[in-house]
Amino acid sequence: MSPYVPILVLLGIAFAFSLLTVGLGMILGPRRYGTAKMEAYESGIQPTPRAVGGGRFPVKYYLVAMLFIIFDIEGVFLLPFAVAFDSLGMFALAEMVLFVATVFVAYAYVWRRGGLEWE
Amino acid sequence: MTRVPSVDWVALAPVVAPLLGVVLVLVVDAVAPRAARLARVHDALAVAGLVAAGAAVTWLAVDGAARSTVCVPGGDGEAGLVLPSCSYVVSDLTLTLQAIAVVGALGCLLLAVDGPAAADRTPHHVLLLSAVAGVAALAGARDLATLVIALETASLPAVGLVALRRDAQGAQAGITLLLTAVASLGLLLLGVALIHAATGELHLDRIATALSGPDLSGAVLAVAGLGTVLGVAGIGFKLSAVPFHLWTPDTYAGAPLPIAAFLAVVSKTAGLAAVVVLLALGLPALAGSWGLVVAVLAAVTVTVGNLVALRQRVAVRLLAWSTVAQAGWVLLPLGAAVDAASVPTAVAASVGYLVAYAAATLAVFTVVVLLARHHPAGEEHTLADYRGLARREPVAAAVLGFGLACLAGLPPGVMGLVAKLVAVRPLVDNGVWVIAVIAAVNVVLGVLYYLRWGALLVAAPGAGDGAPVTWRVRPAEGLVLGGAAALCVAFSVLPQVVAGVLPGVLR
Amino acid sequence: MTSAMQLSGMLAATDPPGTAETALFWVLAPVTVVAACGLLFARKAVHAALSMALVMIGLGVAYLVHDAPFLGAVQVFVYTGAVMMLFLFVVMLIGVSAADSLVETIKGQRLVAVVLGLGLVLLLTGAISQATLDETVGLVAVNEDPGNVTMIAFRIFDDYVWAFELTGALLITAALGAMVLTHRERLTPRTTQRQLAADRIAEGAVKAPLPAPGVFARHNAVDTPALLPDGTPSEASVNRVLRARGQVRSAEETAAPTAVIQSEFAEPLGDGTEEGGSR
Repeated sequence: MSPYVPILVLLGIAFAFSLLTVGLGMILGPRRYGTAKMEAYESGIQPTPRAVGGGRFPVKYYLVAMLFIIFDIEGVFLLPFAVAFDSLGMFALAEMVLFVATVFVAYAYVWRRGGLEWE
Repeated sequence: MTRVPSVDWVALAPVVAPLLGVVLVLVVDAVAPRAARLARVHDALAVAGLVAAGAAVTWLAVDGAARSTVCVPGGDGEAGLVLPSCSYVVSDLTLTLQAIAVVGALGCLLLAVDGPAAADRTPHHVLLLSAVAGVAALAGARDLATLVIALETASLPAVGLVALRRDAQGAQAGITLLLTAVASLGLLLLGVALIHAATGELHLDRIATALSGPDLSGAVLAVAGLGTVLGVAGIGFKLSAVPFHLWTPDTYAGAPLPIAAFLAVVSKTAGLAAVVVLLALGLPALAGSWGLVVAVLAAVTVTVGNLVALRQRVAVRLLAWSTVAQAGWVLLPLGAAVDAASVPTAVAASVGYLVAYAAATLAVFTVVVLLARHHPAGEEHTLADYRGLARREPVAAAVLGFGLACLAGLPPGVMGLVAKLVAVRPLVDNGVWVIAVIAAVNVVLGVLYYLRWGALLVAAPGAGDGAPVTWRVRPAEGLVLGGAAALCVAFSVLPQVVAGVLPGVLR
Repeated sequence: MTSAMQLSGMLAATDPPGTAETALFWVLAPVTVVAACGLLFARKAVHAALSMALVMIGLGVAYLVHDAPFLGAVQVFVYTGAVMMLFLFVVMLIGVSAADSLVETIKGQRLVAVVLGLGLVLLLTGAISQATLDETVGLVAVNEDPGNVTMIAFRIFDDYVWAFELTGALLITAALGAMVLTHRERLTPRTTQRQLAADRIAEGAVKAPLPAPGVFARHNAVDTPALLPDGTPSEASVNRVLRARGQVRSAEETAAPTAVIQSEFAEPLGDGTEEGGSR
C-alpha cells in the first residue's frame, strides 16, 4: 500500500486542481451571452452539423494503434524485468535484449517503408 | 533464487531457423528498402530459412535422440514426486508435423515467389516464415502458454498473406479471416483458462496427471470438460471444421491462389497440431468425453463439406469446400478415442491422413495455380476450363488427376485409399459404428466430385474454347509440381509411410 | 496461476482490510460503478469508450490496493492502454458522432437480449451467492518474499522463456500484418506545390482571382455571393463546396438578423440575466 501513497496524493492533487480551475472560472468569470456571440466569426463559414465522413478517422490510424499495442505489450514484459532485474542475472538480460531486438526489427521495417509518415 | 534454464538450440532449430530467416529478410529490407536488385536476396533468405528448418527436422529425425528443452524442475510435491516438465519436446509427432509444415510452406513459397509475392516480397516472406515457425513451435509445444502463442503465430500471418491481393475482395477475405481468428482466439483462451483453473497447471503432462487422479471432484471435471469443449471450438475455426467453417470459401476465393494452398496445407497442419497437442497430450484422461465431441464435429464437417463441394463450379471454391471435408477426415480418427489407451492409435491415424492430404492438396493446387495464370478468367476459372487439359498439358493433367485420385481415395491414388482406411480403422476397432458408416457414405460423395473433375481432364475439348495458350511453367513452379507429384507417387508406392508415420508412443 | 491466485486472494483477503483500503474502496467503487453504468447506457460510442477507460482505471487501482501490483499495472497498461486504443479504433471506423441505432436488424433481437441478459444475471447471482471462499493457499508467501512482481519475473524469464521469446515473433507478425492491411506504399514521388502550380497554369483555368464574395455581408462572408455591377449575385464568388452543400446565402437573408442584434446591443448587457441568449 505505502509505495502508492505518493501516486494517490498526486492523483488527488490533479483531480482537485482540475475541479478548482473549472469551478473558479464558473464562479468568478463574467457571463454575457447574445446572438452575436453564438455566431461564427466574420469570415468563418456556417458550422455544419457533421463532417463529410461522419467523423470517421482514416484507416491509417490502425497502424499507429497497432504499433502502440506492440510496444505496450513489450512494456508489460519490461515491467517485471525491471523490477526483478537485480535478482534475475545475465541470462534474463540476454533474453530481453533478444526480445527487444526482434520487435525493433519489425519497427525498423515499418519506419523504413514509410508507415510512420502521415500524408 | 533464479536458475538459468538450459536451452537446447539444436532441438529448437526447426523453429529458430525460419525466425532467423524472418529477421534477416527484415534487416536486409531495413538497410535497403524497395531495392529491386535485392529481390533475389530476399527470396534466397526465405528459401534458406525453410531449407534450414527442413534440414534440422531431418537431422533430428535421423539422430533420433529424445530431446526436450526449457524445462521446469520437478521435486517433491504434496502428492509425491513431481517429474520435471518441459515446454518443448522433440518427438516423432513434433517432427512429422514440422516436416509437413516446412515442405508445404516451401511449395507455397516457390509458387508465390514470382506471382502474388512479387510486388510485396518482404511482407510475404516474413509472414510465411513466421507462420511456419509458429507451426513448428506448436508441434513441439507442451505447455498451454506456448500452445496458445504458437497457434497465434501460426495462424495470424495468414490474415496478412490473404490481404496481399490488394483489392477489395482480398481485403474482405483478410478482414473475414481476421475477425474469425480473433473470435476463435477468444474461445481458445477461455477454454485454456478453464483447463488451467481446473488443474492449476500449465504443462500438459502435469495437466494429464492432475486429471487422471483417482479422487477428482465433479466440479473439477466439469470445468475441465467445459474448457476442453471451448478449446476444441477455438481450434475448430483454424481447422475450418463445421460449424466454424463459414470463413473458408470466401477467404480461399479472395486470397491469392498460392496463399489459398498455404491455408489448405500449413494452416490445417497448425490446427491439427493444436488439437493433438491439447487433447492427446494434455487431456487423454477426458478422451471419453472429447472423443464424442470430436466424432460428431468430424462427421458433420465431412458431410457438409462434401455436400456443398458437389455443387461448386469454380475450381478454387470447390477446393475450399473439399478442404473443409478433408479437415473432417483428419479429425475423424480422433473421434474414435474412447479412453486414454486408444488415443495414440487415433493420433497416428490422424497425422497419417494429414501427410497424405498435404501432399495431394499441394499437387492439386499447383496445377490450379498454373491454369489460373494461363487463363483469362484467372483465379475465378471454373471446372469447365479443365476440359481436355490432358491433350494440351499432359504432365500437369496427369499430376492433377493423380492428386484428385489421392484426395478421393481411388486407385491409383493408393496413398489416399490407405489414408482413408487408416482413418476409419480406429472407428471400427472402437465400435463407433455410426460415425464409421457416415465416413463410408462420404467416401462415395467425395469420389463423385473428384471424379467429375478428373473426367473433364480427358474429355474432348469443347467447341467454344479459344485457341489454347501454351503454358510457360517457371522453374520454381516446375519444381513444386515435380516435388508434389513425386511425394504423391512415393507415398502411394510405400503406403506404409502414411499408415504408420508415428509409433504408438505419444510424447 | 499467479494471477488466478491474486484474484482469489483479493476476494478473500486473509487479513482484515485496513482503514485506508476501506476508505479507498468506498471512493473507488461508486466511481467505477457509475462509469460502468455510463458504459452501458451512453448513447454515443465515444462516451461509452471513455466510461470504459474509467472503469478500467478504477479496477487497476483496486488491484494495486489489494496487494496485486502486477495485475494492477497490467490492467492499466493493457486494458486502459491497448484495449482502449483498439476500442477507439472501432469507434473511429463507425464514426465518432455515430449514436446507437434503435432499429432492430434482427427481428425480436431486443426481446432475446433482455431474456438472455436476465438469465445471465440470475445465473451469476446464483453462482456467486453459492460460492464459498476458503483461505487462499500460498498467496501471502508469494507476496512477502521477493514480492509479487518479482515472482512473475521469475516465471516469465525462467520457466516460460520459450513462450516469451515466441511472443517476439508474434509481435513481428502483428506489425507486418498491420502494414499489409493499412499501408499502401507510394510508388510515385509526392507532387510538390511547384508541380501543382505548374499544372494549374498548364490546365488553362481562371488565373486571376475569382470575384470576391460578400462585399455587403456583415459576417460569414464566404458563403454570401458577391453582387455583380448589375445587382445579380455571382455564383463563381462562392466556394464550390458551399455551393454543392447548398449553403450559399443571399444578401437579403443575412441582412435580416442584423436588426435583432442591433437591438440587443442597444440594451444594457452587464447584468448577466440573459444567460443563453435570446435564441
